[in-house]
Amino acid sequence: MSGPFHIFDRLRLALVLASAIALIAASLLVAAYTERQYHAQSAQAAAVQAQVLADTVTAALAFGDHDALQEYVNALRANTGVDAVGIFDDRGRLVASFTRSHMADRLAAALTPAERPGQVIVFAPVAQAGVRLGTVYLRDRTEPVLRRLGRYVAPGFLVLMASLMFTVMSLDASALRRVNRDLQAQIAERERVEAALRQSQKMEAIGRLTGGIAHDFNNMLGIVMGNLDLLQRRFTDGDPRLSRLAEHAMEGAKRAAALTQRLLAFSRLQPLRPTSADIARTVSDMTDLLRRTLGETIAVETVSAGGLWRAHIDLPQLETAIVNLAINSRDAMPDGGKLTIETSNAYLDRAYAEAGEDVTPGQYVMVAITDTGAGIPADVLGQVFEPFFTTKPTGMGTGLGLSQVHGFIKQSGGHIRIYSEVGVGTTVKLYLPRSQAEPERPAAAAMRSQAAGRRDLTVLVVEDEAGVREFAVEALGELGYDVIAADGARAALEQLDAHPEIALLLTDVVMPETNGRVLAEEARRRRPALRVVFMTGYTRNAIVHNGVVDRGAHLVSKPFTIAQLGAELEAALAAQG
Amino acid sequence: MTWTGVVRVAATGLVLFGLVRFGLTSSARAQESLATDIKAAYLYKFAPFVVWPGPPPAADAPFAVCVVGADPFGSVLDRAVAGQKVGARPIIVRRLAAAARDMPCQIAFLAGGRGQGVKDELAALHGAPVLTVTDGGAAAGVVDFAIAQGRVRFRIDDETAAEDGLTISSKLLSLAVSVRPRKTSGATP
Repeated sequence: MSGPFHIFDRLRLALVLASAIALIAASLLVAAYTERQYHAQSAQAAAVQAQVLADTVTAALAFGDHDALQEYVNALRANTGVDAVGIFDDRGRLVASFTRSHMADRLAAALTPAERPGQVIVFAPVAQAGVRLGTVYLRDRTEPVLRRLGRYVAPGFLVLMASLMFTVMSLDASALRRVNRDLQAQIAERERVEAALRQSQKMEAIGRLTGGIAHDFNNMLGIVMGNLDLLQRRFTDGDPRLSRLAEHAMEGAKRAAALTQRLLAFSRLQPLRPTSADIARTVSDMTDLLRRTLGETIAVETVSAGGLWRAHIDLPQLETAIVNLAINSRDAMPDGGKLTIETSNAYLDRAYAEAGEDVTPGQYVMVAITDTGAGIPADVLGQVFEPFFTTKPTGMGTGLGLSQVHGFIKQSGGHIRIYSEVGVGTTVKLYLPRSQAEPERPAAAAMRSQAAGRRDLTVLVVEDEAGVREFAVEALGELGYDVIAADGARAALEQLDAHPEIALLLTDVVMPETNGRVLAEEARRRRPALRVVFMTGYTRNAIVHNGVVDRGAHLVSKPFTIAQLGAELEAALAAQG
Repeated sequence: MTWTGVVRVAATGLVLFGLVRFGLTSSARAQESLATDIKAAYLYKFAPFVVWPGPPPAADAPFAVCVVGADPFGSVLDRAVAGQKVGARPIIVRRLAAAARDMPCQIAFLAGGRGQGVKDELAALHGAPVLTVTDGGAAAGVVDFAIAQGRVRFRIDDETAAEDGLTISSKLLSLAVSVRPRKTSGATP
């Protein structure tokens, strides 16, 4: 883009320089012409002067009045331009003269003078009525060169200044254009950054909206699922048709719950449990699963760089993300192709971070998923992370896959980039933050056996939403716990004080007035031995920082099944035990 | 003293006398002759500065310088004009005994003769288109020679010149010792 401008600039500059040179050349020509004119004029002036003298001295010369002749000659002394004047009689003898340098005394000698620069020599015949009486010799000094040059100093200076001004103005103009170009580039860059920011803000706004809806919906699902669960447990030996209906209802509710999970994932509100993860092993462990999922027409290849760092990431979510991306790739390759999963260390520097991307500079573990599919047109590439954006036929996809991945990666403090070329393929690069921690032992979250029978333990349930609270009470009863319920923090603390046998606090996180975390802290302050389990489906609150559960906190995600609740309670009771 | 001695002394005296006499007079005579020579040379030189009345003469018509009366110049004048021309006109010298109104002269030096004095000559030529030149006598022509500061100069009577139908160049007038201006118009120098 700057090419033609550059050429134009040069052309302009050359033009201006040429004009300046032409101006100077013209001035020199004019000066030379003026100089010639001057010479011609001074020669003519000398001739005229000689002629005037010749006309004047006729009588004096005719009658040999030398005094009068000398007077005439002397009169010319006043003219400093006259170097010498001589009057020769009709026999060629010098009869009167004055000279500032030298003077020949014979006309013949004067007629062949030594040529000297800066001199004008003229002869004028002295004649009266056709009678030749003698000759006047007049030698003019032309002005000294320095004086003549002095006359050209002022116009020469003007011409020079004009040329200089031309040049400076032209340079200024090109400098201005250069600055303007830079400015335009800056504007373009700023617009790009602004667009990126707008996109980012849009994603966040959509995330909030989606998250809010998903949260409320999740709570309601919790009630539905919980009650269905209870129904199944209590009436398993009842009418099998009833049981089947309940099963169907449960299935639908679970699918709905999965959807809300994905929405929450997109809105970066799902609770994450990041661990220090070996990404290369995760990827290689997934290869079999992916081969099965993608079918025989698609070759799966994994490439892993040596010395790979560990990433700080929620592994099951990462696996989900990779599967999501793989399924997208599969859909892009209906006739088969190749899927490459690459892992390597990456350093995103400040320049990259400042390029308008919402990214913190630092060390990352990169996972790149590349397919040889149809590719994504450039005009929609910017929208692919938006929820419900899909290029797939209706019913084929929810349009949540990429947005879920995006939300998850962003929530994890990572970064995601997508590159695509139509007809060549698509690469999605996930940058996962490097883990600074020592590798953790794989959480031996072996599900403890389903607790059965009564336990001598009292659980305080705090939940502002009656449906969820009632379900939790029922579920805890089912699990064999004694239950005390409270609809808020104040009631909970009263109950806590009134019932010293309470061993475990199961509290919602988001509640009006006092949130779950504050309640838990207050309860712990009063009863340090109290175990706490949080219930949440929504993480924009105190229990998490950036969606990451505080270390050591026990959490059950809504909606939950009775089994999940039981397992979490067991874990909480077993911990620090 | 012997005869030879007397003769010798006398001869010596004579020679000495002669030498002295000759020497004394020769200086004055030489000056006088020089002035005469100059006047002879001047005579024809007036020609370019004077315009004669009437139609212009033929290009090769002779230009006559006349000496009326006793000729003081002799061959000097002839030598002076030899080879000189006025324009293309050759100069000739005429010597006349008396002045006449219709004599073929452009310039006439009036020397005065036996029958006619200078004054008579002038009177004879009055009104004739002839430049009359006199030599400083009582009667003066249009041009009258004079000696000023040891040099030969001249006076000009422009009034008479006008009466004679002559026009004299102001350049010549400016060189004159004195000028008697013409009465008419402001054509005086």
